[in-house]
Amino acid sequence: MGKRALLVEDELLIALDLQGIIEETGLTVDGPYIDVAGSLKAIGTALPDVAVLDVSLRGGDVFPLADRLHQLGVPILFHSGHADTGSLNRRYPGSAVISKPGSPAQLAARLRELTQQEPQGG
Amino acid sequence: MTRLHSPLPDEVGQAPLPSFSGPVIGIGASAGGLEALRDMFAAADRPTGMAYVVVQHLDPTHESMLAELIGRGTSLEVLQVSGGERLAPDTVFIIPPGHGLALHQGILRLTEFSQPRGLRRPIDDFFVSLAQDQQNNAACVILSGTGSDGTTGLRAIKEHGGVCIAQAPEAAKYDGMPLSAIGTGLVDFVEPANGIIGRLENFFARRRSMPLADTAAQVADHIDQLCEAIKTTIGHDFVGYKRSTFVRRVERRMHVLGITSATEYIRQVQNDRTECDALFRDLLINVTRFFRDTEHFEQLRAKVVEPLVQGWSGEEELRVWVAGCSSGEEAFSIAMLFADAARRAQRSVPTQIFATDIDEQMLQIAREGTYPASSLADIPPAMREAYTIPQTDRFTVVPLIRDMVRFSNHSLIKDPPFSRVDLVSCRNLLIYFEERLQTQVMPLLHYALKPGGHLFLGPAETIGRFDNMFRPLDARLRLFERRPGSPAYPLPLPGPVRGATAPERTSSLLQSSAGRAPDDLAVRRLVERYAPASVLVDHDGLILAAYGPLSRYFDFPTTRAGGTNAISLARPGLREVIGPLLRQGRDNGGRAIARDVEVAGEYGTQRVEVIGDPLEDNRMLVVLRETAPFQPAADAQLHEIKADDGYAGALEEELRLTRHRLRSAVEELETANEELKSSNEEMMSMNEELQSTNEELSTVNDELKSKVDQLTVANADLRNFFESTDLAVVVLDTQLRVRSFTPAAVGVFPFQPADRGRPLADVTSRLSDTDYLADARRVIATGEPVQRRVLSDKGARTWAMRVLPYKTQAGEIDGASLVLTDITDALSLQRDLATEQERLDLAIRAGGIGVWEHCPQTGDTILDETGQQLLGIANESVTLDAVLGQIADEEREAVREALARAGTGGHDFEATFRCKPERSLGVRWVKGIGRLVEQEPPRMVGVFIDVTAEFSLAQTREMLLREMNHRVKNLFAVIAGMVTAGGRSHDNVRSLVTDLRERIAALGRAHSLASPAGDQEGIALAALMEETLAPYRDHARIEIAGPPVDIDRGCLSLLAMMAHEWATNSMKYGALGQEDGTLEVSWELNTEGVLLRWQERGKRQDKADDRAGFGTLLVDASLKQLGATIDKTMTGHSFALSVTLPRTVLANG
Repeated sequence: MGKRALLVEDELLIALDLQGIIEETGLTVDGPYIDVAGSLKAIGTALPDVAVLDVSLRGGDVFPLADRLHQLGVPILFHSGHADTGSLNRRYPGSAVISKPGSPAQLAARLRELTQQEPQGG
Repeated sequence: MTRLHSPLPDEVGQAPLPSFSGPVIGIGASAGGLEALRDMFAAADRPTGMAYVVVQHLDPTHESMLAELIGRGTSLEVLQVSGGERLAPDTVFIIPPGHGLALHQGILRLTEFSQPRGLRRPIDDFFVSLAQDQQNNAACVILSGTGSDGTTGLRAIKEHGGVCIAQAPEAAKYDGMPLSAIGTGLVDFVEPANGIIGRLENFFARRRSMPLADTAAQVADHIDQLCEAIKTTIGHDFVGYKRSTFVRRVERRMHVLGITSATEYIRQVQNDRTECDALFRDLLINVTRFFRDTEHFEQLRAKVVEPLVQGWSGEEELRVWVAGCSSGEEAFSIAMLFADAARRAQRSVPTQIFATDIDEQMLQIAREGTYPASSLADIPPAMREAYTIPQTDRFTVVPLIRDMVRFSNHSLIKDPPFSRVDLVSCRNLLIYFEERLQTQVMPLLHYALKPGGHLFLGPAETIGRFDNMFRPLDARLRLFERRPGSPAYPLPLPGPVRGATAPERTSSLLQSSAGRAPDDLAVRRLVERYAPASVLVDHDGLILAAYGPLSRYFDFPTTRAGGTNAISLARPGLREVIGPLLRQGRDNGGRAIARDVEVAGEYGTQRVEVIGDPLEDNRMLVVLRETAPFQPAADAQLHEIKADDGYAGALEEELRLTRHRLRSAVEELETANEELKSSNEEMMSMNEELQSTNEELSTVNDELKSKVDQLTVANADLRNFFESTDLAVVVLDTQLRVRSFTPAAVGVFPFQPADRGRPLADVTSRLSDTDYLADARRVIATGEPVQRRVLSDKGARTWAMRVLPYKTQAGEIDGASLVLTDITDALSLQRDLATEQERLDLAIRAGGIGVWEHCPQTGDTILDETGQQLLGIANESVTLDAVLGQIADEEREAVREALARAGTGGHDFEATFRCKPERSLGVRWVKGIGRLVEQEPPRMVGVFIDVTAEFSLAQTREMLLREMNHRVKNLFAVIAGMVTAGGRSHDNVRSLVTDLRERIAALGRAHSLASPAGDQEGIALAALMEETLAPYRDHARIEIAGPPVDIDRGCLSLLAMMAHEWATNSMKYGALGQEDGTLEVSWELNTEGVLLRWQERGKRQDKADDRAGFGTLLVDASLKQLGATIDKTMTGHSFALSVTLPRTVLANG
């Protein structure tokens, strides 16, 4: 069974774009979700192998979700307009950060790196 | 001849000595004195060991600058006496103006002048007190000046053994005073001014080194030689003088000359006429007083004067002889006694007083009849009032008294005595005579007195062995009465002393003496009783001696006017015989006789033989032998005798008459001469007064010159100040008349130059009121300055007016000064400043700026109210730590460092920090700025500004920027997404680009609806639709309708993309692509949310490609994202979409 990626992005066109890029790496996309609440509901049923998260969502930042995912050992790729790489890395060690608009190749490379890692317990 | 009455210097028990015992130099100066004093004191080298007292004639009405002027040029202390000063060495005491000076026990006292100006003799007065106080320790110096002040005083100095120096007349500016002093012959040294102090130092040094006893012994051995020298040179014989006195005076002369050997001094006296004169003067020195020995005079009055006056017969005048009258005080005293007695007796008694002395200088003084006022005290008050005329510091004897006294130069020893005198006063003269001389004098006085006349001697004198001639009336008080008798030897006395060549005179058998040998007595008795009447005459007929009863043959006059010529004295009969007898004796040298000569007396005729018996020395003894009894007179006989006179008798008579006339003429001439002399004296005294006035004027002039120089400078300074000052100054006198004003004052009072002297009230002013006149009056009355503001009449200018009292040098108020300062500009400046200050305060308050001051050294900090609020401190003055305690921990150290750095200067302080003043305000951001003020101690001044608002604004801006950045990146991502998606659904690049362009444009339009600020919550649905469909308006009729609905801005792009997709499809396939197609977009609100309808009418083509294109994908994804549902219906020419949007899409849903 193929690996699954959780996609959280509230901007439709970006979400579609990312979905294409993720799927091209051979991952199955769960989403795109537009808010934290929906996402949390989704991971409650099945834990993804990787999560691609926009930071700033309508209705609040993505951090509650990211905290939960980090706790569960799901690698996270932040795709954010807020290029605050340092603080995100400090808060979520092992996560990757790509500033919007990220290049498709870079996104794909990061996803691959993250999915090849052993899932971390937590 | 003069007498000395006061105790001699070294006999005096000195008064209790003051602390200063060195020599005291009195210095008298008048006109030209300033220069002389300067020269004199400039030559002084400290220490001189002497004290100096300067008595200068000064104008009493002017301040004297003498002390200042002299003090500049000398190393000695100079001060002006104010009374009570004790003498001190090397100090010059200067007389103050308007006072005299006196010295008493070494302390200087001021005296008041009682004489009018011009008659004052302050130098004399001071010298007298100096001499009495300091005895031989005193010296006097007489400097330049006119007149003769000081001349009397120097006599006192000399009498008490002091020394006297006069300025060399040729070097003095005015030589009157020095010449007058030198003229007394008593001046010891004559020196130029700059040599005087040196000379004095030498003199006193010499006296200290030469003890008196040594010289005294030397001198005593040589007295006879000295007397001989004086006698040879001057003609006065001092052999009979008291030796002790003589020695003392000689000694002093030796000190003066610096001669130590008596023989050397004798040589000096013998060879030098000047020294001989000087010694002569010194020997005669004395000073007398009015009514000296009061008790004696009282007795004289009671026992002699009053009886004489009361018993006056009314015939002959009363005759008094004062021998050795000196400066005349005693003569005048006796004159006053007589005048007073006459006044009491209420009768006029003619009294003639002959006052004689050999010192012409003293006689001059006596003739003036002017004495220092200090002598007034000696005169009994009643007489003082009646017989003196007081002037300022001197008095004169009234003419009544002066006329009673006749002063003449006459030697008691040398010259013939007066005769028929009622009273002889010869006081304090005999004490200078030794025994031998006294024995000569006493008979002479006896001769001079009338029988019953009186002799008045000095307290220390006695009649000695001559009690046969005088009977003591009161032995203790030295009052004697001439014993009657012995009138028989009146004439021999003057002869022997006349001429220096009759020493053998003393052996004359005729000399009267109680101590003669018995033989002499016998011869005398024989001659008196039994010898025929005889006279001894010289070859001219002058009677040299007379023996036997002569009154029948000679007619002795009561005065000496007729002389003692035997021819003129002889009674008629005898007279005619004596002439031929004399001639006979002279020519033939043999005895001659005239027989049967009838001598006519008053009571009858006596027949005699007259024998002329010539002696060897040209003299002739004329002996009268009676040859018949006396025949009483009968008138007729006179004629008989006369008839016998013959021609020779007539000639003799004529000769006698002629001689008599000649004598009268001579007497008249003498009288006239005397009168001229007295007028001359008056002239001299007037001249003296004028000179003394002149001196004062000249002194004043000297001082004024210096003063004028200083005033000129001061005046120039003042004028420059007046002209340059902007102060308006008006000086008023006490009558409020304008005295002077500055040019600036013309701006307030339009003065003309002629307005000086006009009352200020008459001058208009630019001031609004005239209260300044009242102010000036009040200031003049009270002396309290007044200060107030005055306005110009139009109120445009303001002056600060000060009214000050105008004070004279003496401190009296003599007017007022108005000082006006134009303060209009200053006031306006002050107002501007106040406004400015107010504005600044307002700005500071409005800006919430706190002001602080900090002292880096102490850490003391002062905060204003705003500063306190900002920092949350309740005190105005706090420590630095208290301030820092209010600052947040993070910034505290930074602030402390910044303050310390700024405290060392160079950098301004600037720091922004947080502090928590009060709970209600929350944390405040405060910016502090400060700068060091260079002063001592250094202070830092600065402000606190509340920057909390700026800080939060900046934070917001930062947030906005981040948001904007995010959105832009998001937009890039969206476009990237569109490109990716477009790439999947398009094969043709051109159509892809067109498609993308349209989509981007549509998105852009939608975004333009959102306000750029980004805080807009909702966007009107109608506007969204209008904007999205705007490009298609010209293609078909489009109607948009619905109630106002605001869409959440997050849904904006989704709705816009959907509408764009629908419109694009409609252009391609539906109503918008048809000519007559219509589009109707409408919406309504319902319970679920918004129901949006898209209704197309018109022919619709089928899509060529029905596969799910990019547009469809977009719409579906959008709908999904919005949570909306869609219902699509197509019937014939109508295509309708019905979309239900949930409430979440609404802006406030």
